[in-house]
Amino acid sequence: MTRSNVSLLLLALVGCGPSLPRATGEIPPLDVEENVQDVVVDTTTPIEREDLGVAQLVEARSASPIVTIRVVFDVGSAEDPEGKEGLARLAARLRVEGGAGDRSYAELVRALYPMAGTIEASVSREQTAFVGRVHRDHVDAFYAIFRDVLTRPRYDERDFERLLARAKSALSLELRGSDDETLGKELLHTMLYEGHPYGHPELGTERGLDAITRADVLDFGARFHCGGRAVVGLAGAYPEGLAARVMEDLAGLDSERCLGRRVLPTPATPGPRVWLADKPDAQSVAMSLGVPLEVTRDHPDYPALTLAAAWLGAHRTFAGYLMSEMRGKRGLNYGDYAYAEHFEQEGWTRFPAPHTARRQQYFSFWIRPVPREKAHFALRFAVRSFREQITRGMTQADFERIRTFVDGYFALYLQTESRALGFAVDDRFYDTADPWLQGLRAAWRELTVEQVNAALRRHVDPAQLQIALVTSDAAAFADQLASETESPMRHAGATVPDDVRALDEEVARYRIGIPRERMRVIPANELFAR
Amino acid sequence: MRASTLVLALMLASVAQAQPAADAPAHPLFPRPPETTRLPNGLTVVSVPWSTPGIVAYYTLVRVGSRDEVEPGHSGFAHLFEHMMFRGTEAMPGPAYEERIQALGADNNAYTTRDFTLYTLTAPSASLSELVSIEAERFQRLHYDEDVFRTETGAVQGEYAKNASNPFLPMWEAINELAFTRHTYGHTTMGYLRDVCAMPTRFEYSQRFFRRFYTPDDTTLVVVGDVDHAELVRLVREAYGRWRGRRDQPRIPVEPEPTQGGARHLVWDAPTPPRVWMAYRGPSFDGGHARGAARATALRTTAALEIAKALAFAEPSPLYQRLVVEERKLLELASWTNDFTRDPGLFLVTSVLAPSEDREVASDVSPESAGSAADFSAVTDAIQSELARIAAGETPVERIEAVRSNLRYGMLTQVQTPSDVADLLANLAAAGGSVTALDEYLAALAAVTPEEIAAAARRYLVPERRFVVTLAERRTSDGPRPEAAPLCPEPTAGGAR
Repeated sequence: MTRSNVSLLLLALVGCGPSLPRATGEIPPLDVEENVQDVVVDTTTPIEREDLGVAQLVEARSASPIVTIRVVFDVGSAEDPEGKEGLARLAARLRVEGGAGDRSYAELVRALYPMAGTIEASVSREQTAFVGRVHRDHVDAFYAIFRDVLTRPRYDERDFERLLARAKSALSLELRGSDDETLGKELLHTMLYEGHPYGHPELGTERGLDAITRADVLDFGARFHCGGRAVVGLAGAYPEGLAARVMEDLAGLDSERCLGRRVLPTPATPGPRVWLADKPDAQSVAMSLGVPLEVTRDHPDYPALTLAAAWLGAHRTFAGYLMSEMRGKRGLNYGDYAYAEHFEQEGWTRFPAPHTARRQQYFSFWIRPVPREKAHFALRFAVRSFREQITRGMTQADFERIRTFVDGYFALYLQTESRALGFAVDDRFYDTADPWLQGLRAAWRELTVEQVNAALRRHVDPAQLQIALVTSDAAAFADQLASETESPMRHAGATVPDDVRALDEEVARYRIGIPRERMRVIPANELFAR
Repeated sequence: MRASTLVLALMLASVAQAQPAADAPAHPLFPRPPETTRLPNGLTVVSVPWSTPGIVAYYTLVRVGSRDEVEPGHSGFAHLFEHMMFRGTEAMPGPAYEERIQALGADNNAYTTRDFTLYTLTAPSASLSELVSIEAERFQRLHYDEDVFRTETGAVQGEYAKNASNPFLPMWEAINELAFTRHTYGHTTMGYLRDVCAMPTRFEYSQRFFRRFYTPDDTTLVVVGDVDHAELVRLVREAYGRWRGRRDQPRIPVEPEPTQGGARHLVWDAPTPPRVWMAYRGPSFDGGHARGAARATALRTTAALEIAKALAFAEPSPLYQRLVVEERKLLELASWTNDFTRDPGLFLVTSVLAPSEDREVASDVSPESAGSAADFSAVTDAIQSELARIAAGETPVERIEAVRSNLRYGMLTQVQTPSDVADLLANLAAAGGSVTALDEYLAALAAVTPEEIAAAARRYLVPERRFVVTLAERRTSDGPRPEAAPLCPEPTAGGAR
């Protein structure tokens, strides 16, 4: 239309290292010589690891005839070995799209079909989720298959080859050639997490996918799909005793080979940069902007930042500043949103998908494709908003309005038991005292506008702004941005309200202030090669 | 395992979502059957009680879609108009409308299809009377000026822009264009780019559009959740009772029966695996709102084709297992199922070919071996052969029963929220003229025989009714890539600075 994802606090501290620099409200002068160099990755240092925990259980038994089983391991693409990027995702997919136990893949699919049972896998930077759903009429027959997928995967060579071919196509062809918005988001990740385990897509790299063997998948499964890294969630009208069976079966996955999570390095702080993916056929410019953030769901300032992000641009609603100004008043594009943590939309809903939890987060804007002729203005608008709205903060009236909105709107996230279960499982990742949404809503009630604005200024540092663009003729666009040439807003309507016009004039001349030397043009076809 | 795509694939369930009250008749999907009331002005009010954590879905179905875009140059207009519906009224200007919606914490959206536009509002149950008030205001008294209209056309251009990097857009445009030479299903709901670019000049037309199509006689409110029907009707009667108007009935051109099919090849200027889409011209959902025996027969044919689709293309099917799993010629094979249409529509099959092993991934120009005509025809031939087997009645009965069971349980596990229920009912009401179409269709699915399935395949899934669109990355023989051009060539009139 229209409008068309930590355990112990101690471990989190180990993983985070020194604090990120604080926002000053001004963009510091750049030492280009010092800052323009690439981040150097030290591959000789052994990987530090956390201790393994024990499997945990979250039960949400109800009268619902739909039974959901979520088995979520604390492992994601951040554990991909260097040179084998894409392994975590492939290992998960091979469990659910290959044979298991006594059944070939064809037999497994045939057995699930009449019950319309589904077993899906998702892999994020730090989580691997296996989600089974079935009607209560078929729970026993279904669980026998689900258990085989978890504990007796066949990892057949032919299934491996099939899924590897599909992953290669998804990375090299689909991501690069048919989805500029996702390409832009992955490019932003590459910038935010250069030389960091989060720096490559879950899909992997070309080099990684070329190197992965079936033996790697077996090894990965044995080391990381372990009971000691799992949280199990159950919802719906499942039979007595199912929870105990699942926990017993998972215990069978533990072995001496199981490994704890790697300790994460602190993201680099290279200063502001623009990277442009050069995609010759693009008719518009996809934009993602962001900075690393040390606040995660277990941090006291998380509720304040969530509220602030909603004020700036609640996902796919008209409640946010960016949406109202860029789309509503100027018709620049289809949508403009802000996020205080990594966000993935669940299917066709506008609500967040569970199991994208991570120990390090980022604060970002997603500016949907803007026609090239309006793109310079739109980027100026976004960058100006990132710096000035964050420095200035929201008014008391903004605060009251957005708090009322999110209090009702976030409650809609809990409409399905399955999704609510997913969020409860993720609470174990962060080891928070209250359920996620319950904690948020309670904290919002206690917050003041001053606290929210202070948290925003404390944690979101515009001096580290990374800008990812997908565009045709990228070198010329980089030149245009660096030139700071005026880019007037051209409204489609005949008359423009005075306040809109005044802001237009300011934005048209706004200095993005990032020199050409800090802009890098990368052919889209070369992204994620290694 | 792939997620089931059976969003609308209905079934015949005997297992209820919850135990029905002792005094109410059982319904296959809902605790109680939907209750329907029609107001004197023609407005239809439907409610379904549904157990929720205090949430109500308030959906407004207006049966206007790209099907009604009969005037040349106006493709995409029903969708543009859907955007305009969020711009408020004189008494409730756009910002005031947004403020009221936000105060509820509501999830507020809409979408447009070939046949209908659906306004989807989900909010706390306690806000029902406020929802009625807000929606009654905008549906009766929408008001916007030309400047606002022109600005919103920019958002629609942006929507086109976000879709444009995906080959689905040109393939969907091409396959509709091929399959329909006269009927308005020949253009997409998004509209042609040239028409999208011309939208800023259509202000007057937009105002007429509201008067012509936003009328109570073809509008249905579907309200699901913690709701009392009598109270709902009282609120609606009060707020919408004075709404007047009769829907315009544009003459929709009749599409002649296809006799020789068609094919088109598209070139893509970015990396892509080769793709093949096939569309068979099928029947309408219910024989064009037929009555009596003709209607029952039409619904059984629709049900038969739905089962044929699953027999041929669902993951356990022999064809899927051969092409995708064993031979690995295809990366994907799927069929879209939520495409019930008022007029004869499309039975769509989509596939993605495995790129040839020797493809030079990083090169600008892929080798001639990727996505050759021979590769494409091997796929279409295999699909046609499988459909011929179904048409010949060679399908074992147990496979048909497995499909029936899948459709039944698929539906039971997918209808979870008030929004799911409202969306399902609205879709069926749009295709079949009333919410009772759901029950009629479930009955047809339960009753359709193996011979009827074979007969429907013989009648509809034949080469004469088949339209094929292929797409592959540009090859040397396709000539040079055109220069990148602006989305819309030059600014349209207006252009204030």
